[in-house]
Amino acid sequence: MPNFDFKEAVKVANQALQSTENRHLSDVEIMILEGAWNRLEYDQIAAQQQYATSYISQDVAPKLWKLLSEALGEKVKKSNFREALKRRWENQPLTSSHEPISSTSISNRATLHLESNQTEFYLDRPPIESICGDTLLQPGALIRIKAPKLMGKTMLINQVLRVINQNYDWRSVNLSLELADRRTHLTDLDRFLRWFCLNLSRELNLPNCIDDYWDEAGMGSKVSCTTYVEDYLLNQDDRPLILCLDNVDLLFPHPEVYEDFFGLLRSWYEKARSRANWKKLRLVISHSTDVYIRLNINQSPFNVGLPIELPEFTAEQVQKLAQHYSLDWSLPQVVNLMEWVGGHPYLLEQAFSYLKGRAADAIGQLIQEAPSDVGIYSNHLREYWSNLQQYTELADALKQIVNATEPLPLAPVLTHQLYSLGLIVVTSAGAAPRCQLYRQYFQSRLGAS
Amino acid sequence: MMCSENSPNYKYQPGGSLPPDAPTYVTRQADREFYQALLNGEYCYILNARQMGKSSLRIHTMENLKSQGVTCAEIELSGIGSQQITPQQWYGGIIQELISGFRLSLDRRRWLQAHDDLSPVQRLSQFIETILLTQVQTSLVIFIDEIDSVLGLNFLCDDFFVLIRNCYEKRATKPEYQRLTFALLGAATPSDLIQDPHATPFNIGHAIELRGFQLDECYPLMKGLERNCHNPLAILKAILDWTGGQPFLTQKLCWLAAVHLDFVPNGKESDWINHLVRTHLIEHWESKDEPEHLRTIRDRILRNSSRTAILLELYQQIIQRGQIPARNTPEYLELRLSGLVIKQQDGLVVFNRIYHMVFDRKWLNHHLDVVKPTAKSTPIWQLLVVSLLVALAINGLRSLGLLQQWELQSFDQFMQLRPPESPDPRLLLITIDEQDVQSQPVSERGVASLSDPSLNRLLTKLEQAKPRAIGLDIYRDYAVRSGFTELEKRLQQSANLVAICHYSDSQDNSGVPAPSAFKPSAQGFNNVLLDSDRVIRRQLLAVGNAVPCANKFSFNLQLAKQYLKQENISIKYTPDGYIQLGTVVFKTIESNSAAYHRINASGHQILLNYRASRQISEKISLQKILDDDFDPDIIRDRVILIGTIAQSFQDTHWQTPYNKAQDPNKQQTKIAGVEIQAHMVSQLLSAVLDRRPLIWSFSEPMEILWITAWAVVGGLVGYGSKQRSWWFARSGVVVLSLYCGCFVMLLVQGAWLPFVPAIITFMLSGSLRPIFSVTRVPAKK
Repeated sequence: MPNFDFKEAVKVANQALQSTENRHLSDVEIMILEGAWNRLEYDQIAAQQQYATSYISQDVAPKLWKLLSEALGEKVKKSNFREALKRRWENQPLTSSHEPISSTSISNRATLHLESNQTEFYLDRPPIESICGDTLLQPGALIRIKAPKLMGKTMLINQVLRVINQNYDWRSVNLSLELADRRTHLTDLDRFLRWFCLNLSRELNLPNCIDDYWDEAGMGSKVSCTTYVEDYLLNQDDRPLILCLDNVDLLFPHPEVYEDFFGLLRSWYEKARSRANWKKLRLVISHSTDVYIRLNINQSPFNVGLPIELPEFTAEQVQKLAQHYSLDWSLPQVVNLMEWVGGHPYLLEQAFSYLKGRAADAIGQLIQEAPSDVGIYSNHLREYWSNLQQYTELADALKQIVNATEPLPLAPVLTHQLYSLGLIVVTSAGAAPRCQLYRQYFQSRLGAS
Repeated sequence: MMCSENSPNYKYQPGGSLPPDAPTYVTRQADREFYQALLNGEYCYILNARQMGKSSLRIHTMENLKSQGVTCAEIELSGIGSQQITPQQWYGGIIQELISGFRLSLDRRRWLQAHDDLSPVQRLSQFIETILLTQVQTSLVIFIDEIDSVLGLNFLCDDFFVLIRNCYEKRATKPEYQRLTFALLGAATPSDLIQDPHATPFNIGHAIELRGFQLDECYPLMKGLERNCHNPLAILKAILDWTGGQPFLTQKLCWLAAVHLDFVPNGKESDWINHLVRTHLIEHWESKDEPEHLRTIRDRILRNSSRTAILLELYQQIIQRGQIPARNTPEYLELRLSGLVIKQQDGLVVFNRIYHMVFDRKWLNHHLDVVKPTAKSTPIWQLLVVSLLVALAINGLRSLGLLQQWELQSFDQFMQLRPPESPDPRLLLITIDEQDVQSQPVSERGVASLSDPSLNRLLTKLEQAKPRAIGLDIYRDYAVRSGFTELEKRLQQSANLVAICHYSDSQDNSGVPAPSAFKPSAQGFNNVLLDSDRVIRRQLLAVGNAVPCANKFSFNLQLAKQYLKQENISIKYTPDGYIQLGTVVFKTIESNSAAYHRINASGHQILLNYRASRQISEKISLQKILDDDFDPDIIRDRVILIGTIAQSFQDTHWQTPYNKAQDPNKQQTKIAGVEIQAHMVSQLLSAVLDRRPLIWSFSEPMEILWITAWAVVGGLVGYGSKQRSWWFARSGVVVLSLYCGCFVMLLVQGAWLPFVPAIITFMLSGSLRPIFSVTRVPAKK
């Protein structure tokens, strides 16, 4: 049995919290535990990390002790938590003590269905991969991948990184904001940037030296973050560093963080034009277009870098995808399915994994049930539906579109929003439902006009 | 053939700054100006719209300066500030950025601790002097980019700009400052950034103006188009024709052309580019605007609704007139900063055709509609206050009598506009004209118009024809001459004969009594009331004191009474003291009724509703009666009025709303006293027997309310009219309907509404609205 050190204590605390609160310790909570472990006073703990003492002593710490008290089933204070955790550690079975701590465990939860099925298989969408690859070879490159959800953004990032790693000995970080705690990390710029830097060093297998570079009181968190990246992460190594930020849209509900963070990224991009250290940095940012926000107009819009939009699969690509599911489909068969779900990667994969191993005529039933609540897309469609119910104007516009036989010209703002949601296609004649599935489902939900 | 493969790093770049070695970088006039000025140590600033190539220009200039041995560093303010940042952190961040940008060696934390006693800005100043200027021994330029991001900070940055200015001023005393130069870049106006004109660095600096690309500067862009056509210059020309040289759009369109165009045949270049612009930039631009450019312009204009309305109105003027003179007011500068318009010579024009198509009239009107109500929602109470003030002012003017003349004139005009009525069949005028007078022997007549023998003969003939009443509108203040006892007897005994008298209405006028032969009940005064413009608009029915008349009733009332006797209608009084004939009550006017201002309203005065006919009734001359040349039917059952129309008796000079012409000397405008009396009798009779309306007006409080109501209506019309022309049109409609309404009310109901004050308050309170929209909410810093 290993010694009961601080690392073990955090593990125990995390397990206890997991069972009662269904969450893990946040960075600041771990920081308090560590300080208390070393018998530091609150003001010392706060000073170490440039937090306000009152924030630590009156807000976070009392809540932490209350949480731990509930989780451990006994009264826990700063003075006795060490012993309380040790008792729990001694009594627990060994098997469960190997749960990874903090963010890594969340990453498992966060894995998308799309990837878990398909980690090995990637369907090429030329020329996007080569454009991304070529761009990342440029010093200070920046790529923005944007598409509605479930269009394969994460898979594209993984593929691009895979190819680069095969050909070059570069450093890379692939960080999804899904890993951040929505309540603690995404709502406060200072905490977000600390979380961000911590994870960068962790992903690069570098020791966490944040405290050496971080001087929030002296220069603010943005410059602290810049300094950490420049003087520590980039300075370490002469190899280019690819930094992929996935699911950036999670920040969109928090403009106070989003605007400042994107201002920071933009300033890095500008530094990379002329400073050698920064030329090593290659940024890839991916976000879903479902939510749109407006940037602070006092900063340049985030319109730098190469925008990548993910188109739908072509019939040939869909045929290849079918082959991957051991379905030997002819082009007319493919076109038949695509009349229903278009070239939508997720919808197609759902269909293929359902049809795999089933009789050839199962597709008839699939299509028949698809727009209903018992079909394979019911969850996907319900999610759209509940989303739309919050925006009656959008719902009204969509109702007109699904009931029209011809493409319908609508107010540009509405068109753009529905397009961003991935519900419609836009041509010069107007807006039309993205696929037959959506048309039928929303016709039945929204009613005929 | 000019086909060539592009080098791998040859690419167009819409959005973001171009790397120093970018082959598609277009060198402009501003490049040389900026570089030369900085090399000479001049402070520079580039305050311009977004995506005009500021940052690219900075990068290229830095590169060029470095090759001349100048040390350069840029500070991106957007990488330092955040919404919660404190001044200490912000200035500290700038110090750190300077350390990293100039690669200084310094233990920052220790240095800061050692200078803990200084304010944040003093520390930066100290840092520049003791660290930066000592460690870097060459000339150095600090580029401060994204300067407008200071507007997002929650503290004022004036100190920062003062510091920059101080660095300049220290050059005189400390030579090392001559090596230090600042360049400021951003999308803001100097006055947005710092208010104090004495502390601002912008008036000591050199302003660099960024223009669109000119065709002769654009050769670096041509190479990428070579494989799409024979004539890349023509393509480029077509592109610039659309973009006006706007750097972002030009790069983007070049890129679109390189990617999307197949080989373009000669002469078709502009057609193909037109098609490309339509399909890839303009149609559904909101969805295709990637990287964001048009949406940035849109958002910058629409972001702040109080200012948005002004910007949109300004833009509207530019669209309507093509060009407006450029000014340096905040609104003009803000509109220029959006990038939508650009200064060309001394005028503002829409930058390019793409903006023209995207931000077209339809777009503009839509957003004007959206923005206007919210922009004006604040002053709605102001509008009410303004309207009430206007109403107060006009009511005040009116109570001083300053509007009386206009109101009377407008009343006259309405009266003249009425459609004609038929002559009153109940009346007959027997007129004594010059000829009648002359035909009577002077010995019999004396100075009178009618001699006793003539009168006797006349009355004899008249009585045979049985009229209901005979009014003798002739002064007879002398006794019947001897020898005419028959006449005297007749006058005394006649049941239906009424003679005039004239009561004394002033000190110098002792009045004229009726002839002694007449009983008191057979006389009535013929006094008339003149308005200030000597026009008769009122009628007197009775007065309290009619000395020397033997009767308090007027001549016209007496005649009406005689006539109505046969209808079994006699004079009654209402409890209020008004005279009543049958069911009709003759309400008297007051001293401020209708348009009048402080008139003498004593006695029973009513307004005179003239019969709108050229002749009040049939007329016949005295001579014809005396000669028996008449049909007795025109006399039977009528009121006969006998009076003179001969010029020599000076009873023909009266003015009515009808004959009050511009030229008072016109002969035909005169009307005789007997006709006025006939009108009065006619008004009484037709009111009682025909229900013809009498003229009435609102009570005083009602009139004030009416005027106030029109002030509010005027305010509302002004408020609801976005454009001046709308206001003119709507006001025109309202004025016209008010005019017609007042006229119809007068015609049908006899209502005399205060038309003139209503029009004045309406127009005044409506036209004050534009003045109020000029008093704008100052832009929020």
